[in-house]
Parts: sequence; C-alpha cells; structure tokens
Amino acid sequence: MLQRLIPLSTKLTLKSWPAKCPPQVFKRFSSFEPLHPSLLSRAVGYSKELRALEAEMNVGQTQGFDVEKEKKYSHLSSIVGSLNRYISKLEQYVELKELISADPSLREEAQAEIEEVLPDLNKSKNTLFNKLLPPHMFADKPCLMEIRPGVGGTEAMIFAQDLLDMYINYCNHHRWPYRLLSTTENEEGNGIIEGILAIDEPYSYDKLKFESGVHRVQRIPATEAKGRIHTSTAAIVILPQLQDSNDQKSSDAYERSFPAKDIRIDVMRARGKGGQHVNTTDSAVRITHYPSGIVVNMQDERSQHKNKAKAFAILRSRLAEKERVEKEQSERKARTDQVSSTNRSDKIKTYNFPQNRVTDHRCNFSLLDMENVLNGTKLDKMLDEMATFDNSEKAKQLLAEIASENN
Amino acid sequence: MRISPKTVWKAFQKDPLLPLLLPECRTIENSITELKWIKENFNNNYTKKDRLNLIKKSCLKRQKHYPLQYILGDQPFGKLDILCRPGVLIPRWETEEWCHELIELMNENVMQKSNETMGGIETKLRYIDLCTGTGCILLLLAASLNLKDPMGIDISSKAISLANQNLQHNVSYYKNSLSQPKFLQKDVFEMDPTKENLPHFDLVTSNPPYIHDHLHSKSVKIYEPKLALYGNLEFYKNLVGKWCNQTDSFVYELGSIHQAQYVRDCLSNEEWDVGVYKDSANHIRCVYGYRKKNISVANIHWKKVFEKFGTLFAAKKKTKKNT
Repeated sequence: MLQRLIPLSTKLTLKSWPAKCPPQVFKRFSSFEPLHPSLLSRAVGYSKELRALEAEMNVGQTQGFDVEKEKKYSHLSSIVGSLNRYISKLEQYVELKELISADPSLREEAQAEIEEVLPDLNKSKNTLFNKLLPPHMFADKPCLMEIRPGVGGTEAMIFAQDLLDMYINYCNHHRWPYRLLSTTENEEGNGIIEGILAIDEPYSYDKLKFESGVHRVQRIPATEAKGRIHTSTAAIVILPQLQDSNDQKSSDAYERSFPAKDIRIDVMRARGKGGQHVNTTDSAVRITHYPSGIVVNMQDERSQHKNKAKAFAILRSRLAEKERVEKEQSERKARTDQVSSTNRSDKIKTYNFPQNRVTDHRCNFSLLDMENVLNGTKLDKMLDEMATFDNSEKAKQLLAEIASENN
Repeated sequence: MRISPKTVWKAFQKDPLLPLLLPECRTIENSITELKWIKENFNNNYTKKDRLNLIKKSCLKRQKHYPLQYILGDQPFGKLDILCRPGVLIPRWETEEWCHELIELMNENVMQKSNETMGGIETKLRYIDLCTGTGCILLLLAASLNLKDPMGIDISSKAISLANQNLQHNVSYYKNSLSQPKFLQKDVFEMDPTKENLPHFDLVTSNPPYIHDHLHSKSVKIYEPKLALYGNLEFYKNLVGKWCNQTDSFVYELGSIHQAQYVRDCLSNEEWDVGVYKDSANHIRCVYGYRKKNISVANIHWKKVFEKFGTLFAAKKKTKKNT
C-alpha cells in the first residue's frame, strides 16, 4: 500500500499545483485538498496493524473467540476499508489530472469526469478522516439526562418540562427505550424542578453529548399577562450510563466498591423503633460522596432499595463524567488551546419562539422550524450539525498534535 | 406531634387532597410523592370520574391512617412485587434490607464444587421460613438463591392464601427452578421438627411478632393484624428449644436487644456463634446464629456469610465487642 501511496503524494503536493495547472482550472479543483500526509501515514500504520492482527488471529483460531481482539479487528478493518476507498478514488483523480496535462485534446472530457469523481473523493476523505479521530471514551454508552430550570422562575420550569418532552419525543421518534428515573414537579404543577431521563440506547451518549449546557428560551410565557417576551434558561447535563440501574447485582457490587468513609447513605430516620412498630411509606434515600461533594437524592420509587440502586447509578454516572471532564481539561491545559464545544458555562442553544428559530451558538447553525424540533423529528439535524462542527475542531487539534510531534 | 394549621393551609393551596395525607406523611414533600403514587395507581383503566372518586376515597382512607399498601394492593420487595391485604402484615423496608444483605453474602460464599467431587450429593440449601405472612422473605430468597424445597409456615389462613397468590403473582422467577416454594398452614408452637419428617435445614428465617411494649403508630395499631405484631420471647424460646437442633443457621428479626441476648444465653458457646444485625436507621433488627461446624452437607461457609452481616456477641456472655 505504501508503494502505491508514495508516488501519489509526490504527484499531489499542493505547491506544485498552481505552476502546472492554469489558474481557472486550479480554482475549480481547489475544492479538493488531499489528506494531510502525516494523517495518511497514520492510516497506513493501522493497515499494517490490521495485517499483523489478522495473522495472529489465524494462528489462534483454534483457541476460540477473543472479544477484545474481535473489537479491535472490526475497528481497524473499518478504518482500512475507508482508506482503500479513499486511495482508489484518489488514484482515479490523479490519473485524470495527468491525462489533462498530457493530452490537452481530452481536457473537456477529463474535466467532466473529474467533476463526477470529486464529490465521492471528498466524501471518502471525510469518512476516513472521522475514523482517524480518537473515539470518545463513553461513545458506545447509553446515557442519563438531567434537566433543571435555570433563571426565569416558573417560566424556566415550564421550559425545562418542554425540553424533557422534546427529548422523550426524540426517543420515541427513534424508538429508543427510555425510563423516566425521577421528576420533581413545581408547586403549580406545570413545570419541573428536576427531571432525570435514562435513555437505554447504546451510543445515545455519543449522539446527545453536545446537548450538555445551558439552553435559552425567548418567548411570551403562558404566565405573562402583558404579552412581553421573556428570556429564561434551563440546564442540561448528559452523563454516560455505566450500568443498568435495574440490574441489582451490579449496583450492589458498585455500592461495595466505595470505602465506607467516603460515602454516607441517609434513609428515613424512623421515629421510635422501626420494624413492625411503624409502617412508613417514606422511601427517600440520600447519598453523599465526600471526596467529590456529590449529593444524590432519590424518592421516586416506593421501595427504598430501588431508590438506593437508582441513586447509586446516578452517582456513578456523575463521577465518571466528572473524571472525564477533568481529564479533558488537563489535556487541554497542556495544549493551551480552547475548544468551546464542551464548555458548559455559556448558553449553547437558543429557542426563539417569536422567530420560530432554534440556534446552536457553538456552530452558528439555525433551524427555522420550532415545532418539529420540539416534537423531536428535526432535532437530529441540529445534532448532526454540531457533531460535524466538533469533528472539524477535533481535526484541527489532531493536526496540531501531529505537527508538534513531528517538530 | 401536631401538624400546624399553616402547613395544612399550604398543602391545601397546592392540592386540596394533600391535607388528607398529612397526618400519616407528616411533611408536604412526602405527601406530594404519596399522592403521585396514588394517582399513578388509579391510571387509565378507569373513567375520569371514577378515577377522581377513587383517588379522593383513597386519600380519605389515608387520613384515617389506613395503610397505603392496603389501598394500592401491593408493596415492592426487592425485585418482587408483594401483594398486600388487610389481615396480613405489610413487608417493611428493614426486612427488605436485611434480606438483600443476606442474599448478597450467601451468593458470595456458596462454595463452588463440581458435581464430581460431591459424588452426586444434593448441594442446594434447605430452607424454611416461619411466620411467613405475605411470604416476602421466602419468595425473595427463593428467587435469588438456589434452594431445595423452600417452605413457608404460618398459622393464619389469610396469610397462607395471600402467600400463595404472591407466588403466582411473581411466578416468572420460579419457572426455571425445579423446587417451587411451598406454603403450609401450621402452628409453629405445635410443630415438632423432629417428628414431622422434616430434613435438617441449612437456614431458618423468621419475622415473628416481637412487639412487647407500647405501639405508637396508629396505622399499625388499628389496621394491621395483632397476631403478627404482639409477642415477646415466645418465638425465640421456640427457636432455641426446637429449631436450633434442626438447622445450621438462623436469622430472626426482632425489636429489642433483650430478645437477642436471650437467644445468646440459651445456646451453647461451643456449638453456636450468635450476633446481631443493625439496619441503616441504626436499630437492632435481627439476631442471627450459625453452627461452628456444619452438620448439613451443603457447601456454604456460614462464618464467612455472617462475618460482614453484623456484630457477633463476644464469647463471654453479656459483653459486646466489635469484630
């Protein structure tokens, strides 16, 4: 493969282009930029690794099935697959280009053909590129979503309820299984003070992770008598789900993994002697994790035991997310660059009802279809846009990393 | 303690039904959660008018301290859903807690031996639950452990029929096991384990009536069966006199320390280790004991099981020491 690549990349150095091609041709071709050579060499490295793994697996075939190896194999082969596709397109493209410079009489036809190849080439380049990015550590996990109202009083609570409904609609739209772990209604009963939604679909964390942050709403609230537009907010936190909270055994095991001094579990303090003496229905459980200062309350279930299991599941998710954010931050500090996409403090989205507009402020993308966003059918468009944006940000990072490695 | 009119008024403003729940729930927060459960219970199967009526009636019953579990008809108990009827004691969270603890520890400590080395001897645990009531302890243990012919005994016919209903209600947990739980109506005091053709058990559990002093809770006092509540040492006497000869270990729920002390004093130090279990509200809740040497053939290391379960009584009587 390397032998095929080296002549290609020598033929395709960017600097040689303007000299060889007439200006207007270059302009039309400028929509394609070959993949950075260091990235390509990384992909080639993967293909070598794949071959080594293949050989190893052929030897070990009699010894049965190794899940880790299989996983690695499928990961590598998908990268190498898109690498091969990219190379074949690239070869086509280079051949056509050579044809143009060699035989001017065929130029018209060749150009038309290039126009056809270009979109495919770009597409294969992008897929390869995305696959080369390091995967998110929780990418394959299902997720937990916590929604809380921010500034704006009752209107914010109503908005929090609207958001919760939106994500439930979204789950229904995709036929994802979900559970409403806990909701606390406000006093008027028209909004929520807290809502926790568990989405049990693998990879849902990856899909929804950019929804973490402050969501802003601008509209005339139902509670407003004079018809003025208000601005209020709600905060969303997306956490990875590391266990099924229904699975009793794993949650008990998890509970035991904490040293006793780090964790405190408060249950209903029974008046008197407890046991047969009283029949309490109060099953609230509060868990305090001292090292991180995280407190989880759970009172939705009638069984104290289930409340405890749920609370531990949430604690686990919060701890994992905290750890991830800290890790990311320390990495970022080392590089001293800023990625705005994971920053929680700023508002990330605005829902402007009078203008029928939803905007993602990070990638500057607006969708003029409030209704379909709120019923979950067009939310994907917003999410995809953000994912693309994040990929390009990450790509810049990756290139910078490679550049600094090479220096 | 009296609820202040201010609280009642505040509750009324949120929902006119809430003040009815206050006498039992004490705080507005708890009342809101309870009202939510009641509303969830009377869901879509009813017309709107019926539903509102039922909710209102339930709240009125609740005001008179009628137990919520009798209104809703069930109580979650671990992974099971236990049906509750008037005349049978409602499962308590304390019981649920120690059952879970016990199951967890037993699962960890059942010694795994292949059938070969055992020479085909039955390795499942033999287990009996006395004063079983709704059957909650037996059903949860049978659903989570590998047991041989688990048996539940109660004197009340209401309890036995409800326990059988509970078995049917949760039947999905027992489909795969060959030995289904069985419930028998018998008087524990008149039973003689040695004469009834019973095997030697690995474990005896019980939640016997143990209230011997004043009972404060109106709800329990008025609506739950006295048969399942009032008692002092009778069942513990019965335990040390009869059942201990027939078993390798026992766990009995209790109300106060003197009942545990009684059990310790009656059993010989050489044969038995006895300890107490505290629930998460820090009340003494169970007395447990195990033979230092297993008689039964089952492969379970009782000492390891109970090591983390609670605190053993020190070998010398009447002094407690942390192990």
